[in-house]
Amino acid sequence: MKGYYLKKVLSSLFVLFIIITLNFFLPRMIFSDPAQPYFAGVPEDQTALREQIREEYGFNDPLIVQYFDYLGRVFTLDLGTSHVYKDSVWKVMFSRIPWSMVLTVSSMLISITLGIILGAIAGKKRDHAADKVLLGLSGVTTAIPSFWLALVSLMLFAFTFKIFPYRGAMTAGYTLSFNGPVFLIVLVVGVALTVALKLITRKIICIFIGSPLSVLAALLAAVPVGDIADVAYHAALPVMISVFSGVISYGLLVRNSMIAVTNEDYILTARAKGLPPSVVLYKHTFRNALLPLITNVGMSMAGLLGGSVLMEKIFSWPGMGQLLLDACNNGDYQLSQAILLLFASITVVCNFITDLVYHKFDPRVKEV
Amino acid sequence: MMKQLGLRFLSALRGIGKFLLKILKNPKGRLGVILVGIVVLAAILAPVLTPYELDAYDIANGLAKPSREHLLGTDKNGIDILTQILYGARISLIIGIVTGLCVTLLGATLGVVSAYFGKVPATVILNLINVLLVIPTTPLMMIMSNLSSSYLMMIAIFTLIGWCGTARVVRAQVLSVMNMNYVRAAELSGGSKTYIMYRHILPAVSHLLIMNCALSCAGFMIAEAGLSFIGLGDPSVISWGKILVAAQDSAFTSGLWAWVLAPGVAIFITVYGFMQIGYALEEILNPKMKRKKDKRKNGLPPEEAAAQVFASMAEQSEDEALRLKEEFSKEVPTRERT
Repeated sequence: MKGYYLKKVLSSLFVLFIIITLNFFLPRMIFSDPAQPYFAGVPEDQTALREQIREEYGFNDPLIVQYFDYLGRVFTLDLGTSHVYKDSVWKVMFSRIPWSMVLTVSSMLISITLGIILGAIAGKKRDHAADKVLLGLSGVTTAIPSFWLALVSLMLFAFTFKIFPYRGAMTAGYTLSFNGPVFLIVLVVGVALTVALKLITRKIICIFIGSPLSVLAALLAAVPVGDIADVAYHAALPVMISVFSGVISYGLLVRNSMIAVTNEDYILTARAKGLPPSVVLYKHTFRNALLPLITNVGMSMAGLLGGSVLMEKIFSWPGMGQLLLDACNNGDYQLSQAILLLFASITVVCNFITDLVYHKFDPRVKEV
Repeated sequence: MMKQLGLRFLSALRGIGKFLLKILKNPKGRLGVILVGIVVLAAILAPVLTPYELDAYDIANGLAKPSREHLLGTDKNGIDILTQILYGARISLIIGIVTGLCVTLLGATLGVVSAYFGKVPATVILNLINVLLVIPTTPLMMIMSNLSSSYLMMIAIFTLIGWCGTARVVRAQVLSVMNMNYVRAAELSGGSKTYIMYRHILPAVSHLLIMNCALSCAGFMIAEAGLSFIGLGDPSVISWGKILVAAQDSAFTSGLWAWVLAPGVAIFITVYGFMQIGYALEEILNPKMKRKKDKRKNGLPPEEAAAQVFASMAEQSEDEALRLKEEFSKEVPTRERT
């Protein structure tokens, strides 16, 4: 068992190493002169000054020295400064990540909950209305690009009916007031309560319900209600669009897996033993049917910080996707490089965690 | 010799014709072929179908509402929207089909090689897949657009990252086919690895490949529209995603609904058509699809369920049960999650 985890850790580290290497060579491949962004404001003819900058940032060193320099900086978590924002890359990213998470986390929670309910109903009764709706919609929605759906709904609800705002995350001129210390205190108390509850009741479900609740409570305590309402009002349309496609895909997943599990022999055995149908449904079918969802949720976890470039562009949402888009358009490669690295490392970590969690819930899966 | 070749060619043609007929007989396939056919015709005949040119600036006539001259209206520069959509079909189809074919080809080759040619290629390819699956496609594409914004670059990156999915599916299928008796028999009778691969293994995975190809064409079309919307891809070539960007800039405030709706409908028709063809191909080619239907056991009352269990137990003699047990224990460790 230990060997399995060791192998997993090693392969994750290997993947990360490759990504970092790729990340080092990409800008050197793309830009004819990677030092170019550092010359901002320095006129073409001041070659001496340019040479000095070049020397200072190590662009004159041999490539291999630069590479190890970069490796060293990444391992000390120093991602450099963005020359457009004139600030450390970490700071720029951290100012955007919460905004992306507002959209992604809320839409994911809603679509998973609704998807499980819809999928379970559809999988239980194949001729139920829910099943027909789910199947009918899934054939059509996969062919509709969600960004087009977003455009149409934006035009309909924001321009024609003027129900929702058409851009941004808050009303223009307002900024979010956020009380950091209060947030931390409430969060720590909430998590502590959750862990205590888990230890007392010994049910793992406490963690799944308790931790989101404590984050929610901390947010409610740290941000004024008016601001929350304003953000929610602005987020409503993008979240609805993501939920629409999310519910269908999660619902379909749960439905198909419900049907697959229903055909398993152990369900037949359970029925043959004379167990009441409700017990068979919840304890035998439903629980096993949720297993594939773990992998799926784990994969989309990686997208939580990243947000969606398309959605953020359409709704002018100040999240990571928009940041990446700006960074690429401005040639701000320190920033785009860091974002790529962040996305990739989050994916690696999430894959690893998903594997562990899956293993815990489904011990049948042995080391492959 | 020539005559033989000619006969072979004819019989191959006949086979293809029969296959096409089968697709047309399938209701999904018919719908898909009709939808895709319309789009392909529109893309090819674009210069004939519309009297306007893509560079016919007519600013005085800009932002016109749909009328008899301009069925879907005009954009800011007075260029006909319908013309843009007809020409935009070209890039969508080219990207979708070329990428779909490349991905399927690369994925199939590497999938089969990783499953059938020993440990070293398998390790290399699986590790490569692990790395590629982690790279986020859209950000990479955005960063690479600084190097070149041509659509060729888009196809290249789609292919380089997209083959992983196909390769994994193919690998799993090959692994399950590899231990079948007929492959073993071919090995025992002295068939070489390449011969067995072409003659026995590829036909067993071909239904997967053909379906996968149609579905990935559809997927890449949607992806292309999204990326064009972000502003990637050659700025001088019109595509459906770019029509939508321009629409977001100016159609919203002036209420030009046709401008926003039409490109989306075009994307939907094409993608839906390809998906229907994919599903039809699966129904035609996958023999398991037919059997699946009568394997349903759910909904049986408990007594019948018990009766079925006992009946199946009585049917199996003791060594049969042993074999089943062995098979079951063999199956579990290799269980792969997708």
